[in-house]
Amino acid sequence: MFCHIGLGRAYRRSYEFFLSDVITSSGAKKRFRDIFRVEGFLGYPLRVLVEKFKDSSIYVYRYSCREYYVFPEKFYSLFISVYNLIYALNKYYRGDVEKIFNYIDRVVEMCRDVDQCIEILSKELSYIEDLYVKRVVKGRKALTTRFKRSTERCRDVVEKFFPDLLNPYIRRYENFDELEEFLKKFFSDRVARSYRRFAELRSPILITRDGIILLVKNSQPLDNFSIYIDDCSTTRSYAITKIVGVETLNGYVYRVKWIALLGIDFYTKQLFLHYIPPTLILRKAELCRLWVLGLVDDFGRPLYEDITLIEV
Amino acid sequence: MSKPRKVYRQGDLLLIEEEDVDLRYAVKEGDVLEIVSENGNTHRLKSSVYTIYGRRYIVVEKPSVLSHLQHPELIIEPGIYRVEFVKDYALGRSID
Repeated sequence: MFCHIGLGRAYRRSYEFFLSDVITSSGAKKRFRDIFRVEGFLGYPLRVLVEKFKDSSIYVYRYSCREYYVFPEKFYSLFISVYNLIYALNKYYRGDVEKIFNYIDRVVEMCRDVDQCIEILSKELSYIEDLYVKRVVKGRKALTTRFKRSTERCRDVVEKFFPDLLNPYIRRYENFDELEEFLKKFFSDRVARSYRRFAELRSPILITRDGIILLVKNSQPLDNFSIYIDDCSTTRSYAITKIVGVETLNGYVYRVKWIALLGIDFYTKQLFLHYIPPTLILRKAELCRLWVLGLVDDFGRPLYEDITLIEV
Repeated sequence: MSKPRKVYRQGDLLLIEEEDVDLRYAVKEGDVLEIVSENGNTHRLKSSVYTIYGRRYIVVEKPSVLSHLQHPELIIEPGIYRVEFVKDYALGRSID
């Protein structure tokens, strides 16, 4: 077997490498297997590796706007190692290509031969993956601490205005058709359908009518589900809390399922619940309220230069 | 400096002041804005109601009262306003 690697162009053509039983361009055309592709803008490290080991290439050809180099089979593992490192670094550096390329440049400089290079790349990969996991765990701990503290801070508001939230009525359903039928008892068909779609992705979800109801699929355990209160605010005409539905793992927030604004209108004595975009997860309840009113965008930026809000 | 844009909210209903709206080709719906809220009560305002490109606008000629059984009244100053409703991420668009 031979390893073909096709070098693309940033933002134009992806990079690819694969195994083939031939050394000619038939490999790229049809006789390829176990192909890996790297987006063009991330593929530069593959070019660096090819440059470094150019002397070991058996054959070179051009096909479909790529320049292909054919190497012995053992290079396939080398390219897989760098492929894994590229994507691990991409996650760790959040897509900062300059940092990714500098890092891989440093690693490749230490390479002397293929086997030793694979070893170095593997070590770097586990090092980066460790760092990434540590960062994620740190982030989850910080988010959990924030949510726990803010839940305590807003406990009075919740106990006074939304006591149901502390132990909501749970309505279980067998399937989503049954859920939609249930929702139609309270909402219009359009709203019921929308909540159904939302539940399909983010179950369990909350709805409010006269009380607060948690909708959960029969098969879904609630052991790892929690609702935290992230912020709250009370004025003359309303009280609001920003609530976050999360899945936990080992006691820490693992996945944020949804964010919502739960409130009560003192004039109508009605509860209201509005889901808000995940991009507002770290923003204050009052800003989330402005999103509900359509006065800020999904990132909390004002949509109008100067406004006077008059409300009752 | 231009004067701030007025935004009125009564429950789920929002009236957002607009300055540069051409209503020449808009369809006039009536002379009273009536919107039934979720609990069955109606937001009511005496104003010319127009629709253009699926958006509803009202033209208030003189200070008028926006009324609703459960909410305090709001005096709406003369001007052109876009009619909007509160949003919900789960429901995909304004709740109307």
